[in-house]
Amino acid sequence: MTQAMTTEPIPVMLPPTALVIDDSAIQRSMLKRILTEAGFRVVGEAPTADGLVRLYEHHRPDLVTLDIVMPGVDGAEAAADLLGRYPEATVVMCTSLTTREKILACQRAGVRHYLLKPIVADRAAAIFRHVVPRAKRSV
Amino acid sequence: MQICAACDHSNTPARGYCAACGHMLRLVCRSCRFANDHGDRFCGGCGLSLLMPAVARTVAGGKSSAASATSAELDELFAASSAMQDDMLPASGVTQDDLDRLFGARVRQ
Repeated sequence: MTQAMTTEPIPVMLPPTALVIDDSAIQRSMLKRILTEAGFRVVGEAPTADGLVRLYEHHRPDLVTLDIVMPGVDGAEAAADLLGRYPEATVVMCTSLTTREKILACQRAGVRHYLLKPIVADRAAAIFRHVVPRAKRSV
Repeated sequence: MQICAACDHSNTPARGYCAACGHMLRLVCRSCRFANDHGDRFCGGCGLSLLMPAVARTVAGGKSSAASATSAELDELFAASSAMQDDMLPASGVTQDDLDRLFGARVRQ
């Protein structure tokens, strides 16, 4: 007896994707390493948030990490702008800024988490996995 | 167009914040990220109450319930909710633990 052929698509697990925005090449490199080791695929990076919306629309990443103090657009303002357009976006701030007003503004804009520099790799990886809990499943 | 509740400015539908005064036009659900209109009581995406549980309990224990609250009462609730969030952060010396509490993530390393 032959086994019936199935036409059901086979689910394929794709790694979640991430976009890294930070004006420091060293910080971007470190974040990319942490994200990769946490199971993410880094699909883009930039030293400013000036083109964040365009980058997001192009890559549709599962996670965006954003510095705040950068040349050009302030990262917190960029996050609020992005989340205003795409509330489903998952944004984690990665910054050394501890200004109370800025933190609360990020929280109210819908930022999912706020990670302080210097980045502790294990903690950052745990937070990234926490805010993007499941790998994308597609066929 | 979205009319800002704070200044009556007409905003394009895509905006989350008022172009004229910066007032929040939409309320993002902390659970499912659905963009609700300002003043909505329950999330349109997942049905979650958009009021903080502690605040809802406080109102239910008083003269009115969250379900029957007027717009003015709801605005007060949102203000109270924001104040509670503010209290979760120290005035200075913010640590990652403070931020984990504020952003609601009990992250295990």
